[in-house]
Amino acid sequence: MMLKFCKIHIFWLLIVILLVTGCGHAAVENVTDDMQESEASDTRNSDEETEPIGGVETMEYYTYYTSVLSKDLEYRLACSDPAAGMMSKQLEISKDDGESWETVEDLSDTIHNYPCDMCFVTEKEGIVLTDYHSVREYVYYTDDGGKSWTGMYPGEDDDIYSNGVSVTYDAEKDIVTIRSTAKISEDDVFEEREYESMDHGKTWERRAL
Amino acid sequence: MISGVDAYSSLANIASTLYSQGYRFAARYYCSNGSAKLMSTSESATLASAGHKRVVVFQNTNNSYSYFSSAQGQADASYAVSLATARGQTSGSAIYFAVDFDATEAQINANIMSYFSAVSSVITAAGYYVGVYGSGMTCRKIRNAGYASYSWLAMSTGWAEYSTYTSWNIKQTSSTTISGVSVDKDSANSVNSIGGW
Repeated sequence: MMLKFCKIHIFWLLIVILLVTGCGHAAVENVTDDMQESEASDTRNSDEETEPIGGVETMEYYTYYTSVLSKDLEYRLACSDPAAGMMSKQLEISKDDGESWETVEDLSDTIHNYPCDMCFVTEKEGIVLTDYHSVREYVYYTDDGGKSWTGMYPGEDDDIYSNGVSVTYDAEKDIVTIRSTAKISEDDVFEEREYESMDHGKTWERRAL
Repeated sequence: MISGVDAYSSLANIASTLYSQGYRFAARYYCSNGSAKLMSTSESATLASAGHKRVVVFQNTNNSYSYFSSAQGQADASYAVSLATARGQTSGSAIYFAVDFDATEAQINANIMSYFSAVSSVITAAGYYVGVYGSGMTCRKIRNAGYASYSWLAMSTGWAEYSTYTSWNIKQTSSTTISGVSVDKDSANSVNSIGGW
């Protein structure tokens, strides 16, 4: 009787160990996925291992800027590490809560400078904000779901350049706001700025801070 | 004056095309966190066979002040030397290191200077020269401090001292696409003044 009791317990112990091991593995995978998901707004991810070079493992790094409109519609901009002004920029779309992504457009030669934030207001209208490298326009606007983009410079004529900081959409007020930093003098003088758009990013008006 | 290009993707497939169009040097990347822009050993050999001088620049992100520190400089330089060795980079040539943003004078004087001090120790001990890529002010201050022998002026005209810094070895000028590959154009006084190999 005691032996049978023990066998049952050992059996269930083994089952529990197997389940824990299996779930643990799945959980780790899920945690990894969740971590990547939660980091996706503005952090670095490594998602592709490559061959060792010089005996050292190297990975492909991307920074993802994600804009979630609903569970059925998310955009993300996958940016490679910068390279003396150049960078790979792929706009992708997901219609299954981020499970799978398909490329909308390669924006490497369309959006200049280095992206620093992105916000889609509707399925078709979105804004990518960039840090200056060589092109003065630092705000890019699309009204066709990311296939084509227009660069613009919300700022003053005598600014040297501007770096983007953030772009946000207030759905209640239907206002898009960008924050930027303008270089206004050669002597390292920068000015914080804020601009608002009442037409989803097509035009911008400066707001007093 | 000679022309060259720099690119974040491989130039192996267009190496001969570039040469036939008059480009005489090709700048590619060393990095420790991205294989796409890393110049492979075979690409390096292909560029040399096509007649190009190869110029290498080390860049991971290197585009914000928080990246730079003495420890990072030491790590980057050590990794760069291992990549150079694996590719047979000629002793006495240069490895450039990027400062890919408009660093302020205070930032250059602080962590960026520390970064290049560490880079200089490692690179010089390994038999190479240090180059710096960045704004005019970054190039001027790092060279004047003795931490770099070569400088490469970024094409960001709004960055500090773009128009007044004239001691560059390489000057980045504009972006274009050649046979479907995105490149930046560069110019230099001669193939022997860029630290190429």
